Amino acid sequence: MSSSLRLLLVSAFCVLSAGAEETVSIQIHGQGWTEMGRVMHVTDTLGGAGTGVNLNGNWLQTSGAQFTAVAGIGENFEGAFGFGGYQVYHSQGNAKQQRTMRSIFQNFITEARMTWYHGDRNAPEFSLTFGNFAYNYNPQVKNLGLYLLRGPVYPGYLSSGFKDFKTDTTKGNMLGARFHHAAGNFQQDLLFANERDLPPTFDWSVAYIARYRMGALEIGGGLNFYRILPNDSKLETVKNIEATGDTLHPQDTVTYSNQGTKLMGMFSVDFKRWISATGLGTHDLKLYGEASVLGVKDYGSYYDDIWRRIPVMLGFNIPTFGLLDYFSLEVEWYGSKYRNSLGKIGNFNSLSQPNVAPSPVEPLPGAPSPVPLSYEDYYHNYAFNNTGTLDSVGRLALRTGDTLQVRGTSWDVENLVTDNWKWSLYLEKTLHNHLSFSAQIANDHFRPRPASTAINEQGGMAEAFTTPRDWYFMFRIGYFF
Amino acid sequence: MRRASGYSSNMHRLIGWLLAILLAVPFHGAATESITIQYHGAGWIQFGRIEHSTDTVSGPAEYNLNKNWIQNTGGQITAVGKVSENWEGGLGLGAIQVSNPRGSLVGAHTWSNTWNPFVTEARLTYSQPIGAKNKLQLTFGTFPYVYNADVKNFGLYLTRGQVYPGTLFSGFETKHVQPTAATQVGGLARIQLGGFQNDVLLNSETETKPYFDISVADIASYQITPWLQVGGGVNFYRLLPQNPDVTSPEKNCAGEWSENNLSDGDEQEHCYILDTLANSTVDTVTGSMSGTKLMGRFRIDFRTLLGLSAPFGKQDLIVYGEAAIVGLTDYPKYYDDVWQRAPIMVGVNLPAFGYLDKFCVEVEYYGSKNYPDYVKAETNASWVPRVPGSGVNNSRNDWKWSLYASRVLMGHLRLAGQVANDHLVIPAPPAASDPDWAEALTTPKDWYWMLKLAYFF
Repeated sequence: MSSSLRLLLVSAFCVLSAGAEETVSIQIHGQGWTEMGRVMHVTDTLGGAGTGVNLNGNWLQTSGAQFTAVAGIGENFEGAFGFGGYQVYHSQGNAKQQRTMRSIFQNFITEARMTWYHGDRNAPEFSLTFGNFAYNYNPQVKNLGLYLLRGPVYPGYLSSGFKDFKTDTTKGNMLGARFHHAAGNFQQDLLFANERDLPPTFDWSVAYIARYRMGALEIGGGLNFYRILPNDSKLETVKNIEATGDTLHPQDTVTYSNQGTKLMGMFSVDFKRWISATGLGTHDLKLYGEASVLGVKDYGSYYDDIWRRIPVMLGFNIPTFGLLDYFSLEVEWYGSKYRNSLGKIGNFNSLSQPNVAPSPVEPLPGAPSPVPLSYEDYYHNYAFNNTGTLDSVGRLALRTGDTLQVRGTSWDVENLVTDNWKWSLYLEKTLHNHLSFSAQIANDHFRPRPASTAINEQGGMAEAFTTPRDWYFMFRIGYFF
Repeated sequence: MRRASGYSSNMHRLIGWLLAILLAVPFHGAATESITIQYHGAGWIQFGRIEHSTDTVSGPAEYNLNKNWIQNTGGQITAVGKVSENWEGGLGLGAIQVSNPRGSLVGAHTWSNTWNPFVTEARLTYSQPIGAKNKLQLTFGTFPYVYNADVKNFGLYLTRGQVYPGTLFSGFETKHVQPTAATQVGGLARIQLGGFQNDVLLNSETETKPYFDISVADIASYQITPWLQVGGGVNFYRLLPQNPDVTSPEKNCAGEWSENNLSDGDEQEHCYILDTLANSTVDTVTGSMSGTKLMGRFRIDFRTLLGLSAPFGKQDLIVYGEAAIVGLTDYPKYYDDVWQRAPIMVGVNLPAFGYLDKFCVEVEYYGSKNYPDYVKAETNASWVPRVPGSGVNNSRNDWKWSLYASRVLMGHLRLAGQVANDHLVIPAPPAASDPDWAEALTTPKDWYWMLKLAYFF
């Protein structure tokens, strides 16, 4: 199935690319930045975020640059390609890590696409895009949200962070195809997205998103058939033995799947258009929000309550009267009970979180697992000589000889409720159309890079912040054209 | 136990960053302004050979660099945009293909290449003219910085290398002497008043561990006459450490230690010095990677002084020199003589009569008696020099020299070559995850040569 789809895409590309010699106009776009920040507080000091170290007080710093060439080819085609890179560092962690930490240079493709369009090039009535391209269905979002196309379904882990690539419309975040149609205030997109971030890779997802503007109000919605066309169906499911509570049949085998369906609804309201205030900035007084169902199907003991699979976010652009372009406060609630860690989705060849050894019953150890993180997974290196269970009052016996109260605390990775609320305060100012200053203070889904293993492009596995007391700040200066 | 005073406070570090940003923010401009982008690029191939390396036993097993060929190729592109009358931005990327030295027969069989990408710059610069000839300039971000443009190999002591241990860096057309790739992350405030120029530099450490310590430097120069320029500076190196316990450790640091690449050294002095006193008692001396550098330099243009013109070239007959004190604080045993922490270099642009753009000889004296292997600093952020294990040739060469020539053809092609006995440190064979940090040229008999062909615009 997936091979056929690939052939179809390649064929379509070739047909669209054929034709007489056309004139080409090329525009070069560039972006360079230097950013730094600091993790001011993390409650999880065991290094369970995949870093292996205590992140409190750790500094963060990167600098990078990118170039993209956009070519207008004839009257209806546009092509774009580009590349970039940025310096990344291990998490600093403790003193030992700070002595030995390394940096690497992370390369990326900004775009590698071909677009056929009908109508205005900048706002086409209809367009087809193939390749590696940027797509952001909710440009209001600065940090939280974008649930439909960010992160897996089962388990419904969320992603965010300062200047996350998924919120940046200058960096390709989608590999596949986009069919776009606009009619007046209505827009719709059909997307074929190839999974390349999270194992099992190369699955295809099909998503549909529609938006409609009514004066100051814009509403939208969409659905995503995540991994509907798997690259290898054997990697999609794992069987998990679970207690049933039935004395005759105390155990049952539940088949969990990486596949699932997401639903999303969103809105934005520009209150400026309803009041007669003067001096307000272009983006001031906008209220926006998004909610999503991460998996419409209830099953097993882990996914038996749909309300725990519905993240909701609200954002508001606080008025700055032109002093800033954006001063956005975003708040999110997500009632998932499980530690937000990708450790079991990763596999031994790429993303595996240190200390986490996914062990589904089948098809094979190390397969990307849709089962959330367990005590055994998370505390394997710190506790549990033989078994991954808590004692009667919810305590863990650590190998150090200490006892850790887990149940009811922020250490409770199987029943974690202290991380349900997230927030982010973001500001941005562009000067002279080409100089950018931005900053953020947040308790979000930031995943720090590991400390003691190879630095990978996805960063760490688990988010750093597990309680309301946790937060970090970042700021960036940049130049773009 | 003696204890060096360390710099501290993350709050000061944060304030430094915030001040840099806040200084930049208030400059509001017009809503819409056009931008002019200039592209600068370079591509090159270079190769050479280590003709003699006396130390054939340090580093990984059978790591013999004699007659080893060195080769790399690279390219980079930078876009500089004049955003407004006052603002300028720069961004760019580059990459170098680096080949490991073959080392030995075994090394030759497992030899490999790596790509080293880099940011040429990612900066914002604000310039404000002061009168007709003077100006104030503020730069933020990631940017190149060279305070002594005459230097081709040695020198630049103030902004290159660590204080403790007193690491000197040099080599053939490195990014430190070619202001085309970033060496600084932070800010630069420059004021130019006639022949006087003063730079205040705030740099977050990204080249050597521990990362993210902030150094603050002040570098001034004065053009006294058209033929004489003098300069000087001070660098409060790692003044604001990201973690004072790492930069200025106490003696209980054994648990923070990684033994990687240190298997043949004396590892008892991890991050402190064990000093045996006259009464045979052993004193534990703690110290810091933080320290203060001082630098003075001069430049004399004898061609201008003597009123000479053609056939002499513009760069001919310039004599330049630089001296520094790398660390003002004395520590027993390894850092007990300030004169052994005072490198000095002199360079002369020999007359090339227009056949070459630059034809210079540089000579350096550095009287340090410590082993020129910086692996402890580079892999474990230790301020204590390495003590060689048995069998290692630990002689060091106080005198270094370099002969350099370059010529630009048709405005965009450049040929360059160098013969030298300098502080060359080159990557180790593939078995090692880090470069070998021992200098390759340790006696007066050692030398190598390099050639480069480059295209630039």
